[in-house]
Amino acid sequence: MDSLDVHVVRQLGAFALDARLTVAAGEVVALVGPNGSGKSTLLQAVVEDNPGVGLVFQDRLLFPHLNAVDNVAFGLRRQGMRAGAARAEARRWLERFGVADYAERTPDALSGGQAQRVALARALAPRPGVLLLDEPFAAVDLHGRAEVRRALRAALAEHAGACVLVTHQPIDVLALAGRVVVLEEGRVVQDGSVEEVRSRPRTPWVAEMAGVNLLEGTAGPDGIDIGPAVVSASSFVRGPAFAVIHPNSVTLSTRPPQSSARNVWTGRVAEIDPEGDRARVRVTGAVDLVAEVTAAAVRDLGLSPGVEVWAAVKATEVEVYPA
Amino acid sequence: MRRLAVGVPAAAAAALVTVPLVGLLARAPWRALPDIVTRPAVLEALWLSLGCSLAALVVCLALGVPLAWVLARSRLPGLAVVRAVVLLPMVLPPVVGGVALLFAFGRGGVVPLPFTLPFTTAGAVTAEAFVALPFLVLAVEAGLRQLDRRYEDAAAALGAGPWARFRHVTLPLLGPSLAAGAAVCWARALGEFGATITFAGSLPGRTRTLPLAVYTTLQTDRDGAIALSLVLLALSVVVMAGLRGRWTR
Repeated sequence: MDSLDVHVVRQLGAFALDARLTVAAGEVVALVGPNGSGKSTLLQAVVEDNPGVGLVFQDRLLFPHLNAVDNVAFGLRRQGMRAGAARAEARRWLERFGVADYAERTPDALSGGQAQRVALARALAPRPGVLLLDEPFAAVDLHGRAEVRRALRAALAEHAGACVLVTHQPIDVLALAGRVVVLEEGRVVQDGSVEEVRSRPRTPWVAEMAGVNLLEGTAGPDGIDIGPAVVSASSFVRGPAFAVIHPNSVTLSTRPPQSSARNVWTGRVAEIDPEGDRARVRVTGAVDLVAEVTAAAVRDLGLSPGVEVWAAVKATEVEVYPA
Repeated sequence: MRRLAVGVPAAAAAALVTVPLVGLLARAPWRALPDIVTRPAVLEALWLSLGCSLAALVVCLALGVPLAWVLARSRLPGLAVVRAVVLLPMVLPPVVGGVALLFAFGRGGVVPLPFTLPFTTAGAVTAEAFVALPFLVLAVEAGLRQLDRRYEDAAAALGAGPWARFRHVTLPLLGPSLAAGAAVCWARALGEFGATITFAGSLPGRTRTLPLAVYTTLQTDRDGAIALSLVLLALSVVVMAGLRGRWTR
């Protein structure tokens, strides 16, 4: 049905936005980037240039004088649907997002999460050609997020047009988007499939979002020279290159390791971030790395901030690709 | 001491407004009241007043809402001047307004009209609208400025054109401001005296509205004047009650 192809150039004081965004019909593109990278400005420009795009705002903006079902029916009525039919259709959309019980409530009587669901139903109900979702789960509590995500996923599967999703949550990207466009300082710095962007990040911010270690340097026959160290890797890439090391691939020990790993660096524990029965350990030294180890390992090794450690990574676990 | 310095003038201010109104109630010929207010001349003035003031309100709504819209939304140069001029009747002595209207729309006036306006019922409506318009414009413009325009953007994104946005989003959200502005505007039109008598005269059944009738009656029939004043007072109280929560809290 509808695709989207916009090239937006804006100068706002010292901030310059110059980004092209193309989304094919039926495609869901996640627009990600640090705060202030220009995502909202880009969306705003898309709205201005494309009247009739379906839009879910960060702050929802449900019409305060209409109840939930009339909010959802609003777009349907504007398409010429009769009041009764529009309300019936609106109710079905509220049901899909699990808020049919609140159909008669006005927005001031809805919780943030409920209002967010109504806003999604309102944007999707008129089946817009282009759908823009700006942080659609921002107000939904953790408990309801999976459910709303599921409902949105099902609705997007039916959506024939283009969809742009702005989010901060990697899980939303994984669950909903096929492609990722990364915006930093007003420019598109990476554009590719979710898998590609995750495995081959091109900026430190993307790497952090993907949860991997990103090193940048010059690749030669011995590996990739990142300045303070040469990282051994099995790669035929030569010249300016990136290297990605998954935190799972980093082994930590408090004594020089006996392993066959080609890359061994010393450093100190800077920070420990427990996540369930695992923990992400940030090590600073010649090479700054995040290692993901079991909670048991943290205990057994006696890891705590300041402790000296050896980090070992096998050459085969280092993925190198041209910069 | 300090308490006294504030309390005495405050009490005096309250008394300044209260005492005359209470006096009016105390002097009211309650027994004769039903007779007086049902006299043909009084009823005539009452209906004329209601008709003229409502017509003036309609004129003010039809012209004032678009004007408030322009003042609130447009970036045309010179709007500050327009606003100042439009709001001037709020502080202008009404009689001056009447004189100005006479020189604008009267015989040989600045604006040649194909019909006669001065000393007609339409003239009374014009005079009332002239004086009452700024009250409506002021309230509606403030309401428009407070309104979050992103609601209109949201409506546009849902496929609403300019008229649908105004009709289904702006207008309902503007409701309270519009109602308050209309109430004050109507009350002002209803009480209008100076501009009306100057521009439209005091012709019984045509331009002699209630305030004019009060003034005329006062010279011959004090009880009648008090009775008519009570009618106006009652209408004012109704308007004030309607604004409850907005102005009286």
